[in-house]
Amino acid sequence: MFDLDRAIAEWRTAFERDAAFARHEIDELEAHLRDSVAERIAAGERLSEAFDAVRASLGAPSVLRTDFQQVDVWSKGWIRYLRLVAIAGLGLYAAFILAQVLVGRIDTEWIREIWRTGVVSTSYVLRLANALVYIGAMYMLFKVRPTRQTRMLGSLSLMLSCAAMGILAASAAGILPRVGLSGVNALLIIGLVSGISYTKQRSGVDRIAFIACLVGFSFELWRVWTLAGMTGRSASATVAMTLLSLSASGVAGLAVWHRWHTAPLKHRLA
Amino acid sequence: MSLSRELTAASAKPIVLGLLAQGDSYGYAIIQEVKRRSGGQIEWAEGALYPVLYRLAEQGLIESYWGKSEQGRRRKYYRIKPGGVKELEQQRKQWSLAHDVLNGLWGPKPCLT
Repeated sequence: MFDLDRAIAEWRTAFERDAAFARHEIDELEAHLRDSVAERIAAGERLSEAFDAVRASLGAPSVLRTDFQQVDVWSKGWIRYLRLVAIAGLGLYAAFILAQVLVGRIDTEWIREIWRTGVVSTSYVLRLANALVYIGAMYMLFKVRPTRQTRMLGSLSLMLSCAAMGILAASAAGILPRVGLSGVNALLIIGLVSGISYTKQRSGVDRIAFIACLVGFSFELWRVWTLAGMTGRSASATVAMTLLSLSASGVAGLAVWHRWHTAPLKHRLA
Repeated sequence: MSLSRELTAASAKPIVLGLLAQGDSYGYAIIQEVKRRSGGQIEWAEGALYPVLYRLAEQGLIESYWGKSEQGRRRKYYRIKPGGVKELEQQRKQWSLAHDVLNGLWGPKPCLT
């Protein structure tokens, strides 16, 4: 016997795999689908036939994608904007650290400097900003269902960033406890991996994965704030400037990305 | 006879604004109403209506809110905003102008209004 709810769940999955569609947009399409099916059934059609006809008439994700992508990313909500800024900021940060590693200019003196003098350096502030960028990236992974490509890009950025942090921690092992720092980063990575694995799931599993990640970067925040407490220095102005520059980089990246992917606006109703 | 793709796309904005000016509505009902008023001559690709609605909301001409259907399911409704009323008036003038010009060229045979 035809199960409408199950058929709709499968239909939703196809849309959820496509980043062009926000959750509230899919909800609205589902409401449309249910209304249309109900009307056809009232007119005497069989349930399965009605569903197939409405699904065809509504259009597949591949058909609707272009029209939905043409809606400006801003209209997808501030969360989507934050997600893109987070990806760009995190990617830039990871690239920055990795570039330092590759050219052999990795600098851990800043950790020693904080420990020794109590003066907060710019590099330290960057680490604090890094933790905040994680929050945005987590939101990206759990609030919006990305495509395989987006998910891979986000995962790669996160992994690179975690690896970069691990390298920093290991390099500073002479000053800070190696096991403790690596452990915190390992927790973070475990949280991220489990989160990414469950990204496609919804409801309870989604929430559990999110909580796992939340615990992970809470440890990260705890670590940097503990350091701040030890130093007794406030760096709020520098933090604000760092976040601003990261956001500006993200906005620039977003603008290029959006320009590249958006065709001239032309709604195609017919 | 049905409208060409270009004309269908161009007329979507004034039609949607015009319908919402008569009362709040939702996607499925808008499509059905357009079909009814055009005697089935205008049939929009159903899923493609929503980007148009989002675009109008983005332009500040309409706004949306979630309500409940008769069956108690969530449903997103749209209502026109003051900016949308002004835009509708502009659209009316432009379409009337085009109509008058065409009417002058093709004779007094009544067409759109």
